[in-house]
Amino acid sequence: MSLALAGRIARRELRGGLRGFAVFLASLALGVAAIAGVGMVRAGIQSGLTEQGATLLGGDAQVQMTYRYASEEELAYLRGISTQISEVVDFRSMAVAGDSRILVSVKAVDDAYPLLGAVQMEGADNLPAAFATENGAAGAVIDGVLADQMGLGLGDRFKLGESEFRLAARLISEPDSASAGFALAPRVIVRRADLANSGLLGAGTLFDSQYRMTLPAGADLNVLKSQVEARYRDQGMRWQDRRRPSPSVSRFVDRMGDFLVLVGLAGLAVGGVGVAAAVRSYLEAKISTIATLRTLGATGGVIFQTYFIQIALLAGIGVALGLMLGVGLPLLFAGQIQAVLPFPADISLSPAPVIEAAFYGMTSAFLFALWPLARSEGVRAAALYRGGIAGARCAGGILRRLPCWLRCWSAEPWRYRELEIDAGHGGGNCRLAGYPCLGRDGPVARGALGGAAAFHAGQVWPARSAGGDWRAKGRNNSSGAGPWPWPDGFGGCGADRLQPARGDCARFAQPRAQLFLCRYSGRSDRRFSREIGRECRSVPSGKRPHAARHHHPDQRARCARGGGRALGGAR
Amino acid sequence: MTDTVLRMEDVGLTLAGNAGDVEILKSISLDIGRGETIGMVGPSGSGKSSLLMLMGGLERATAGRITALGEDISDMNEDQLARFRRGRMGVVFQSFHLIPTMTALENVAMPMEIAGDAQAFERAREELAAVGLASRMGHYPAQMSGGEQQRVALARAAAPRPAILLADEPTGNLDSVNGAAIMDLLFGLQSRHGATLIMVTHAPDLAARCGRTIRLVDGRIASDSATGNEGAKA
Repeated sequence: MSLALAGRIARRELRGGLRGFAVFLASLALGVAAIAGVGMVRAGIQSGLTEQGATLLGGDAQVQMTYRYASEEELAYLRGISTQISEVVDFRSMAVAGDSRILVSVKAVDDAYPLLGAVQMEGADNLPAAFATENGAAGAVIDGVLADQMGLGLGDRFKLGESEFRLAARLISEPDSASAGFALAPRVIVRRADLANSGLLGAGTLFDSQYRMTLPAGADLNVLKSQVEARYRDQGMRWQDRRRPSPSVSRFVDRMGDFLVLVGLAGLAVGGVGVAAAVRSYLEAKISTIATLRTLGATGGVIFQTYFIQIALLAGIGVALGLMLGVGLPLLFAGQIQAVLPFPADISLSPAPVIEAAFYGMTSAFLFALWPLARSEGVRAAALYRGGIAGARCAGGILRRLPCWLRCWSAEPWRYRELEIDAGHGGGNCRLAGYPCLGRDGPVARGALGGAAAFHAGQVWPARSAGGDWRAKGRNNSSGAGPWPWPDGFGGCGADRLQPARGDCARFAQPRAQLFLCRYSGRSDRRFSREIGRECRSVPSGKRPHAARHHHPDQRARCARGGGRALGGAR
Repeated sequence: MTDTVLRMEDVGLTLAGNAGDVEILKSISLDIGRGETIGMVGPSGSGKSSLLMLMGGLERATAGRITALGEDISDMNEDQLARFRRGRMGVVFQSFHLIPTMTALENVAMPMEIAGDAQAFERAREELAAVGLASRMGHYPAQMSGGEQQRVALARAAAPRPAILLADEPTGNLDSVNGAAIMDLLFGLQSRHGATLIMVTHAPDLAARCGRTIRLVDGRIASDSATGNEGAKA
């Protein structure tokens, strides 16, 4: 019942629009968009790696060994389980051309390479043509950048170990580059047989040998993997297959994805401060409505549910906006993203990152909104008269006051400054407790009070003259409204509406009053301002107070008060 | 006194301030009977509004006992007080305090919706018609004049047929013509529903329309007298 009622009230309250929620929505939307976008790209890369796994690996599966080739028995076994097999040897060496010596990453391949895909190059149509021996020098395909660094043109010669090679083609791309992981040096592709006399692949040389295989249709990768690992567990043979063609790329993408999600979460956390501030500000603006509902019989539960529903709806809008951005942008720029990635990515709508981002967004919204929401329950019906939320005074020691200070300052600085003037109001709330937060007798408090006064007086008002000496001049000056613990330098008035305000200035302003503070409300703001200004001008020069005003949220005039007493208010 | 709807016994209200406690009301004792019309007068700061709020359970007394409609509300918490007010107390404020995002009809129906009254909107329509706003039911407060807003507020207070109507300077924000019309409506509603009306006012002529006048000075009842005028008893 109460939830249905809260839902109805919330729906009506939302007619007021989303004004004031720009920060709330932006904070949520950007954080969610970041997480969703990163998730989408990561999922796309994972999907791309999986879909093109065989091409990236250069076969359905491969076994890899370090510092040795497969034995005849091992080769026979591998041939037995595959339909095709190709041997690739990978090692680092120095390429030498004249005085130029550069570390290169050599890929020595057999005639079956590549089993899947094709090597893209310029200068030769295919690998057999490129590897052809001319004038005693075997052909090699080398990275274009390397060729430029070494000053090699097509047909120029360079040496790997003791063997001389001829630059036959410039390498554009190799199909299995992603599975090779991080490249330490530019690539040189040669035929393994042409390295026979190079002296580079003798005993003790550091190299990896890989045997890429295409498997019969329907081959069970799990079974084959188990068999190979069981059979050659002690021979250092490592299995890899198309399901995870590039562990290094997968790890890189996972780690980068995790990092970026963390950045997104950090964004949400920072945005959460904005969320909390927006909710707090919204609820402060709603104090009158909440107090009215309390007056009409609404319990704290109904109030909480009402605003919880509103915040949930707004959070939903923020998350939806974020998801639209986070999903839409990667889809929109899928082509460009795929073009710049060194590995394939299949960016498409993926539910997992969307759900993950939505979860993080809603969770952070609720985490940061719950505290201010919970405070809405504390709004009393009496707030229509006295303002504020119960139990939120900044009292106690520094550690106890600290959270309250943060709340005060993070609310609305202009309001805080102004409300310092109201320090000590009996119905005290966070805002009203701002001045005591600072320590009412300290120079900081006096300065802040003066600053606040200046702010409201609409002019630069020296803090020294506004706040100075007030204790020294006594605090118990009566102004006709009962005991009035006001500083000597201040005047004040009580004005429920315009008419009673007339005369207050002269009546309440003390002989040395330098500042005249009024809180009032209603439609007569401008008229009131004119009136009070005119009246204050009638005070002899040198004693003339400066009018300051504040539009009180409860629409009930409450003039400035200080030292804990209302002045002339109809309490 | 069998028809007493409100009894205050030695009630006090003290508010804590940073410069010390402020005693707003001191030793207030009074009985208010069913159907009475009471005007509360006194200078600014004398505690009229605070006393009205205590009567309505909008504020809690710091001393003494308050019995309203047979229930001791002195020790009730905010939620208990809110539940207690449902359908029993109607409050009219000087500043109307209509909910700006709700239409006139929704504003008037709100207290009855909160009370779970299935006929909330039907009764709200009747009450709005009774205050002459049948044609303005779908309007929002911002689309209405001050006088119209106060009429909506009156309808909202009266629609649940409360036993006690509390009014805090109901004409304070209105011009004399609208103020007079509102007072006629307020007394008319009080008379029609037989409610007890307790009104804070600065206007002597309005206080004179009530059957009893309570004058507060400096947080104490300075005088409590019957006026013998028309609204003495419904």
